[in-house]
Amino acid sequence: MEINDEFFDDFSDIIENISFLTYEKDYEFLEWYSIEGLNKINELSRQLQTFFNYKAAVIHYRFSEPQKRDNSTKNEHIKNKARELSSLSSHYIEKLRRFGLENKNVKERILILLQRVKNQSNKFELNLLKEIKKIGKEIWIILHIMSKLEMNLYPKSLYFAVKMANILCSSESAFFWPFSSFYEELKSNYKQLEKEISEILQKNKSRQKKTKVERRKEKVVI
Amino acid sequence: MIKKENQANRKIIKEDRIAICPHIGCDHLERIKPLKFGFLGFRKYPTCSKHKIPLIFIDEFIGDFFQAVTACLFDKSSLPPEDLIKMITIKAPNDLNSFLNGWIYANPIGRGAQIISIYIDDLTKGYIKILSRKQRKRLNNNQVSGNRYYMLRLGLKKIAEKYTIFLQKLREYSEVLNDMRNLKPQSDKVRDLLKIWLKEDMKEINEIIDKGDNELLLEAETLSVFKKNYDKILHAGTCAVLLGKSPTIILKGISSFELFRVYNEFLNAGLCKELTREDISLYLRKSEESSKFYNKNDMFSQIDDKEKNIDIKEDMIINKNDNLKIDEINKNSSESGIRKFRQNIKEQLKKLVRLIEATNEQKEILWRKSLKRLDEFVSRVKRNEFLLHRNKKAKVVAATIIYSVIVSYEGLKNISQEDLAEIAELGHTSIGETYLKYFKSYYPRAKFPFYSYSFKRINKEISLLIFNIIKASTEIKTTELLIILKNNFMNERFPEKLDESDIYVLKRMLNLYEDTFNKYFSDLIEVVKLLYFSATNHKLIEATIVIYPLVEYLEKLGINLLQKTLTFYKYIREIYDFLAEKYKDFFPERLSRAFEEKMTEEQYRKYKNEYRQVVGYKLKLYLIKNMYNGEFINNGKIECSECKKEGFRVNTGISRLNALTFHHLSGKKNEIFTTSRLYDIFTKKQGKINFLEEIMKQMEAEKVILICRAHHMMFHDLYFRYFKYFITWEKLFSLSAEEIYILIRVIVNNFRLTMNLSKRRKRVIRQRIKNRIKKKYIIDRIYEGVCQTCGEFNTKHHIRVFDFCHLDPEIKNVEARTLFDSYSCSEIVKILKNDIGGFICTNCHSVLDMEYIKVIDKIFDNEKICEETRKDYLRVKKNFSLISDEMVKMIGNPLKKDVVIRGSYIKYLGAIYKLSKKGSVATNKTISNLLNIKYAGVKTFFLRRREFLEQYVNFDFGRPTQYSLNTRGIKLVSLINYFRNYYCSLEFDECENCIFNKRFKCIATQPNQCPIIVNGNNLPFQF
Repeated sequence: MEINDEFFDDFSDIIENISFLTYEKDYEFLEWYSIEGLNKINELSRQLQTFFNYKAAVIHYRFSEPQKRDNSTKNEHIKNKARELSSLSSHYIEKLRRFGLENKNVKERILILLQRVKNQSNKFELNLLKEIKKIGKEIWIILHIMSKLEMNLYPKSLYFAVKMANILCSSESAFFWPFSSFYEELKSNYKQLEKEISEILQKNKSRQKKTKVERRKEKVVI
Repeated sequence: MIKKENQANRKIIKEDRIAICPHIGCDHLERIKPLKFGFLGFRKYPTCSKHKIPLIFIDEFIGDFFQAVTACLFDKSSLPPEDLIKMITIKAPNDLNSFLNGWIYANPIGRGAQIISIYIDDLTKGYIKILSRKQRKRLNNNQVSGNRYYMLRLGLKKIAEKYTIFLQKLREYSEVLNDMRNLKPQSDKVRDLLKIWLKEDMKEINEIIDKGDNELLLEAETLSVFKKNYDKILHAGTCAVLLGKSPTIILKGISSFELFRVYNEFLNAGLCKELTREDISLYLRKSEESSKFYNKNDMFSQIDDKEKNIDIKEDMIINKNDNLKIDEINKNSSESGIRKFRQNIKEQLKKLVRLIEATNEQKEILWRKSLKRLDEFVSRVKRNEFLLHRNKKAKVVAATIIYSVIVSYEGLKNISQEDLAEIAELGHTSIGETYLKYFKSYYPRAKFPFYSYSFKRINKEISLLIFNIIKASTEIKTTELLIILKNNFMNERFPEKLDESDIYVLKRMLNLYEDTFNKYFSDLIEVVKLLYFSATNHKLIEATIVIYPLVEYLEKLGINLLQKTLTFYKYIREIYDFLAEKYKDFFPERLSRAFEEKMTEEQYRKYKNEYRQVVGYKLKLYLIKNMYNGEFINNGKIECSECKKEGFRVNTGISRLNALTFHHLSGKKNEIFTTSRLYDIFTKKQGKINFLEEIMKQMEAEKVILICRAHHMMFHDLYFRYFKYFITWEKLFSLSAEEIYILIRVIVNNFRLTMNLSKRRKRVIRQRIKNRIKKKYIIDRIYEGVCQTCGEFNTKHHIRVFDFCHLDPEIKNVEARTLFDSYSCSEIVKILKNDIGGFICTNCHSVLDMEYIKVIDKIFDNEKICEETRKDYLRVKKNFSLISDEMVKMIGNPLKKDVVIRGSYIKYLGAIYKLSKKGSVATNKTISNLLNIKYAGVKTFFLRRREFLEQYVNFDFGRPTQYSLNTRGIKLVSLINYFRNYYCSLEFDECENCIFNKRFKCIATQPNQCPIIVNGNNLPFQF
């Protein structure tokens, strides 16, 4: 395959991230920083804030009174954001699947792909990686926004958002190698959170079922 | 305390670094440059101009900050405060564990973890800002060579590392400290206690916040006292989180700098201790032990006092001298005596308020109001307004004061005299007597005492009055009628038959409890109105009336005559009977069994169900007779128009009322009119005078027609309607299962309403077609294709109408319709044989409905129709034969295939056919070229499926392998082509003039464009 200049234009922002794969000294970080450090370092504190916001939302949901939970007013803004998130996420996952990425090995696979793209210059894979990165960025923005809304009133959306953050952390840890351990750690925290919500949802579901059965029984008695 | 090695020192650095003031919250950031030649220059140890303390390198400092954060979030002092745990231990000892668990879990968020990032954000932004433009530009443009700006960039790297470590710690703490499995929502009791505690705590916190740090620091003798103030605020945050709120006090009350600055100081002063799992266990153990202690020593009073915020001191000794006589006060009337008298009652009041079960707010109101009334009572005693009984006890007066508060104030929990007397350990009548004597005139009851008076005569006479007015003018409004009644009573005009006691009650009600009067009599007017209209409607449909459903209906509207259900029922029953006696012709007969015979719940349920059916059928009959000016009745006969068209005799007529249904001809369908739904509409709208006319108009507007249940089913079975030709094709069962499956694929893929559907929907449609074929096969084999009881409906035209009827509906193990999806024909028949029953048409099935047979006497007044219905029932039952062993043996499996059929068979067989027609040789290569499929794919297809394909294709020897269709193959391909052409050009009556029908091809893209979809309800397909 003939490689021309135009090809490198497309390649540039992906190659930036994979250049570190071969080095293991401090200046890998320094090199990286020179490219996008200024923006990315701020992203970390935002990530931390978002995580805490979701954690707070889970705790609110867990401890809020069930009546308040049920009678909550509908928030169109959250709904819209949730819808946006859902469509972007399906797009994102579909892209990941094209690479044959499963939930478990997202990071490893992306790293291998990055390496392969670097060595073999496959334009299709390169574009796909670029798209994954771009959509991932868009999803993070939505996740940041959603975290500041009253997500405790929408537990299913909350669950979905946390789940999505979990998946995104895997790919981010591969894309932004210098922050790999940060995203790995964030992922573990999100995983813990995801487990918590799923348990609460499960409990509430069985509680609702129980109440429904009781109500039905009451009806029959009447 | 700043470690010396962390201090910014221009002597030792070799390139620019960023330093910060270690005072958390101070935004002093500085770029530190190295000294020239290692000694030239001022400010060798730069300091903060504001705080006068040496600066520290940011990458060193960030670690200290996170240390302070961790110290704050996971400090030992984050365990619940003692006063709160004491409350929980005493009031809700069983919830102690879950409370503590929840508290620890909520701690990080409650203690302000969310605000960390705000500070860090500022810090990193500041870091970037402080770089010179040149530095930033060079870094951004990737013009860095070697180790230039190494220290600057290393600072940022360290920040990232600290973040990671913090997250790691957060997770580890969470795993160690939280017992996730036992994490439960707080009980209501605990929530109440938390609310009380938080309310109290917030008062103190507001004072703390108002004073500010400096003032507090001055007040606090030591740093540890100062720390307690901060812990108080943080505890409030956790408490708020436990109540499902956000810790506003932390998020808005304190800045992140402030909070973590002080914790940094506490940490440096050694006041912070890491929280461990052992600490929590120990704390829990201690609390449980103290719980036992409290229970033993009855510390309830101490806690109560705090909760209620009542002005009672803990060490107050309750005076045991309860026998102080009140008349002594009157007699002596000395100041000290009165004080003592008041004090005695006050203490009794205090005791009683504690004993009464109520919320804390209610107790507080009760206490305050009682004290006020006590003072008023004492002043009346002082004025000698009444004589007190010699033996009156202070306890009795106290209990009566409380009773007077309860009855005259609506916001309090209702407690009867007897209950209160029991709580106060008094005789049952003492409170009532004292209230009547000393308090009633001053503090009358807030609610009208219905139980003290009889309303029987009042209800009857006034209802009669209302009934007469409504009869004269049916459109009179409730408010107008109420005003008429009020004016009459105010002008002393009462119905003649009311006696003096009744008039006294009415006057008392009107003068003292006007709201109650208005509510009661407007309810009564509504009741009489409903009885009037409901009786009219019931009379029209010739149904008997039952009061209880009316009661349920009225109660849903909030009409209850201020009575509980049973009393309300009794009142309406009395009114109805009274009015019915006066106007015998107007009111229909009433069924009065329900409550008078004291039915069990099960009996009542059955009874209600039966009544539901009778009224539903009566209504249906009325509508059939009167709709479209009686169009459905032909020479006195009620018939299904479709049955009539087909010349059916059995399946038509009034005796099969159960099988007659209303079908919407127009696409507009606001309501379905089944028997049970008709009853529901009737119950809901029976209070409307023109209800029957309205419903008839609605049905006529929606173009509702009368047809039998079986034909109704056929109208809606679009699967059969569209694929009838294939399903009922005579030679279908002469084909192998695989061939049938291939043809089903062909018809679904080529019929224009299904061809563009998704794969999933097509799969569903194919399944439905298969199910109908299976059903047709079974019924054809067993019953020769017709309904075994009526002999009119057949599988050729009405496959959908056949139901599996269980001999005994009570013994029903399977739903027959669910079997077709997953079982073969022989399996289905075997299963159904064990369930004891047989296939009959749905109309005959409805005849065997026992519930219907039971109530026919109540539905039809005409004995002849009843007799006819019974005869029909007996005839159906007699002809009904069950699935037997012989029948099971007759059933094969025409749809049991050995090979999975995919669309590719059709494609490949078609390709061979085309090639041979052209005169070309069908080889892997030519097929691959024709179908535009890879050569390897074609090769694999024939290789793998050779065994099956050999039935249709000759595999000629030689290289390359040549394929040609054998006779069976040619037959199959011609069948495929035949059904493809048939379904490509299939049209319905509706399509004829449709503008979207262009040369056998539908170009409609929206459902509302297709005339079939517009007219067909529950269309199984979607565009």
